[in-house]
Amino acid sequence: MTSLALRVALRVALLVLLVAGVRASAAGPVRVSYSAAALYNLGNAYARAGKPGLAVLNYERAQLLAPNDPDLAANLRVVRRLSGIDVKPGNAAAGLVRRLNPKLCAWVGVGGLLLVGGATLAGRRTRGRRGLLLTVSIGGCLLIALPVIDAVVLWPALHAAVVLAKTTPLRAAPVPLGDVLATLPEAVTLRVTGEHEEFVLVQAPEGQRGWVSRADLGFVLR
Amino acid sequence: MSAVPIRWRASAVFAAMLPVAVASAAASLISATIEPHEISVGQSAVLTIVTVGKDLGGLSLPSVGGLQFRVIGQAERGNDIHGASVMTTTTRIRVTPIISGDFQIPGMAANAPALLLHVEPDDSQHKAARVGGTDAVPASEGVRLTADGSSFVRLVLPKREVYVGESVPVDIEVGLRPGMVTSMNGLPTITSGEFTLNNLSRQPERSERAVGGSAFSILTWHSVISPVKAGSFTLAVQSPITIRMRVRSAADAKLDALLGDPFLQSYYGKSITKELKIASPPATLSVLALPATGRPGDFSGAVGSFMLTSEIAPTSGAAGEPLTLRLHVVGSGNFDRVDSPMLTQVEHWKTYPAKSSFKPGDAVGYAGEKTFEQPVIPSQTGPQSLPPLHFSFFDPIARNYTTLATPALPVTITPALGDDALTAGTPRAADTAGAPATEAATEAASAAAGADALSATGGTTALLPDHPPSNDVVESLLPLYLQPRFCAIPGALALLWLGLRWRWRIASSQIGARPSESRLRAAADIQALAHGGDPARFFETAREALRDALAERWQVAADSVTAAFIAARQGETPREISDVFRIADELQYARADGARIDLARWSEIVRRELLRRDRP
Repeated sequence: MTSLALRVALRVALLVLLVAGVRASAAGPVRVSYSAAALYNLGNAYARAGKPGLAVLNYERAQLLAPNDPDLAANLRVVRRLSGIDVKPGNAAAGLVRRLNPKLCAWVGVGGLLLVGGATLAGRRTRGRRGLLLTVSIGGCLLIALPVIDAVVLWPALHAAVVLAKTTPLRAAPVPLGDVLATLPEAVTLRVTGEHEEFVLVQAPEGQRGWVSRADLGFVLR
Repeated sequence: MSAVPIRWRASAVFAAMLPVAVASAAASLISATIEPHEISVGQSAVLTIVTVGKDLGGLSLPSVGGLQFRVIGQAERGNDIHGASVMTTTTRIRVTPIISGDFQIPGMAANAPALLLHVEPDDSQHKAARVGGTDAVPASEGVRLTADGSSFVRLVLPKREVYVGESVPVDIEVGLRPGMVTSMNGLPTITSGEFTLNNLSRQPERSERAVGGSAFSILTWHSVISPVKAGSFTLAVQSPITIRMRVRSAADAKLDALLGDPFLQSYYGKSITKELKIASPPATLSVLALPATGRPGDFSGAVGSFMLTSEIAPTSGAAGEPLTLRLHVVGSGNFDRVDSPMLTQVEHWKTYPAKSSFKPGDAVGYAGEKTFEQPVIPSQTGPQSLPPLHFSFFDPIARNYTTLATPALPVTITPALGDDALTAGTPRAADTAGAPATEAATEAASAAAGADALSATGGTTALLPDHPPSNDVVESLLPLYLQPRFCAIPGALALLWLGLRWRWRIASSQIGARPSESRLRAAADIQALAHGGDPARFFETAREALRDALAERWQVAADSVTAAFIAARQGETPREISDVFRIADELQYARADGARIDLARWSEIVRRELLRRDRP
């Protein structure tokens, strides 16, 4: 009797927690939503308005959602070239991986996890077909590796920032009067590797590292 | 009759001050008014004269050419003026014009100014001509008074032959006799299911008219009917009203006959109210089906008379920037069926779905202008031309289908990026096509798409056009596999897998190791000895087997397993196990008699202990 009451009480508590969670999420702040088309159109609008930095920033964000959009890649290339920015091609394999849809990768990874788990459980239940189960397990592990590889390749893009000011000094130290190592043009995409107060440690496409004022940058991931 | 060049005031009120009237002779005029002062032929105005005293000898009906005068009622009323009782008489005279024009009614008494009345030609005939009907119904037709003469409903149709789907403007007139009809209880409705009544005007127009020799207040609604199927149908309208009926005594009836008008009904007799639904005489309409032959492919069901114009705004723009293409359909007809797909696929143009709006030109939406707006985005620079737009409809007057087309619209498209800093150093499509061979495969693939797009723009640099809005929205730019909410799914799967493994491990530890072969053999021997009936040998063998098994289980030397040792580890074995050791000693050393020992029971105890799985 006591055990039954305890179980009922636990289930009621779980239900209350669930309802409270749902209500809390519903009553939360207004959520921002993104769409590749909207970001792409916003980039076009900034490009037409003569703001290549904001245009590239929105194109970069749109590419996270639609990595295979040829229009997006073409317009990004046009704006960069018109801004005098020469983007060196990256690693071919990394480029291929970047063309994968992150959402698809995520679900493929879940599928791999299911395969590995299922094969392990099946191996415990049945003595035979060890070869098949091993193959399934290896396949599952490869599928699990897909989102991991995608995350590794995408990591720099997720920690990227675009120069929004016309000319931005790249300084040797995170202070306003630090030595200027180079001047970065607008619309160039940088890799963010660290932060210190109002300065961000970045790596330029040419490999130069230095500090840039946070106010001059737009971060791809907000 | 004398024509008056200007419109004078509606009523000429020359009310003398009542004390003055009292002081004067017996029957003196106080006021004379005419309402309304503007009517049409077929309608009537009411001339109201107020006099002091009962003597009407000084009051005579005027004589004006083109106007008919008839007394329709008279009422007396007592007034107390400065302590003196004075009777005033109100006389109502119906004025019915025979022809149109401006009339001057001479003064009712000396020094009284003349009254003016403006009469328009027949209103209903005028309206019928305005809606363009060739077989319009005359105003005098279609009026059927109720049995008590209190009201009527009339449907004014411009024509009797219409097409399916065609919008036909109609007027619905409800005539109410003042004093008899107390209220209208709803809007007029049509009785036929083969027609729809659309856009009934919210407020009726009000006017006065004489029908059958009686003055009626006319409420006129404008509306549009539309037949839904072909055939010959009758159509009528009905309206709910409440009328007041007098329960008349013989004397009242005689008085009514004498006065001839319900004006005085409120003074005589008791009256009751009754709700009625009055209907117009049914009108027969012939509804024709739209001809199947010659029907254009883009015909959307529009029936009427329309004109077509188009425009593009602005007439010049940059590639990738949206322009607005507008198609204006102006005319009269069923605008709800006026539709146009606008442009669908045009080379070098990206088109979007069109929106439409309607601006009515009259109260019922029969005439007006429908405008279609379509955003279009050019992708090629230079002088461009938008193809003509077409619109087809059925003309019920010409009785055939008509297809109208607008002229092609010229547009000048400039390169997309208008900013000088950006347009400097404009790359060509050849730059993209001739990209270095070291470019990565991904870059090359997207470059190829971009090169196609750029080359499609005629070799000039232009941003590719905007994309249509998408419903595929996300709440975060983070890849899905890095979002905490999604990570809960693989996390839950991993936890489930770990939980299952842990549970199996616990279960296997509880089961323990299987008994060894030697113990299985010993158990078999014990069972055989129990059947043999030799207690000493049975217990001796059982003691040895248990000693080995317990020593193995407890990881101790076999010699140390004695009855006392087992008793000391109380709880790890059944109590009877130490008894096995004690009985074996008694049988071996004390030569006790074991004949009455139940060997089968002891065999079961020993075997259960031997076959028990050892926990790790």
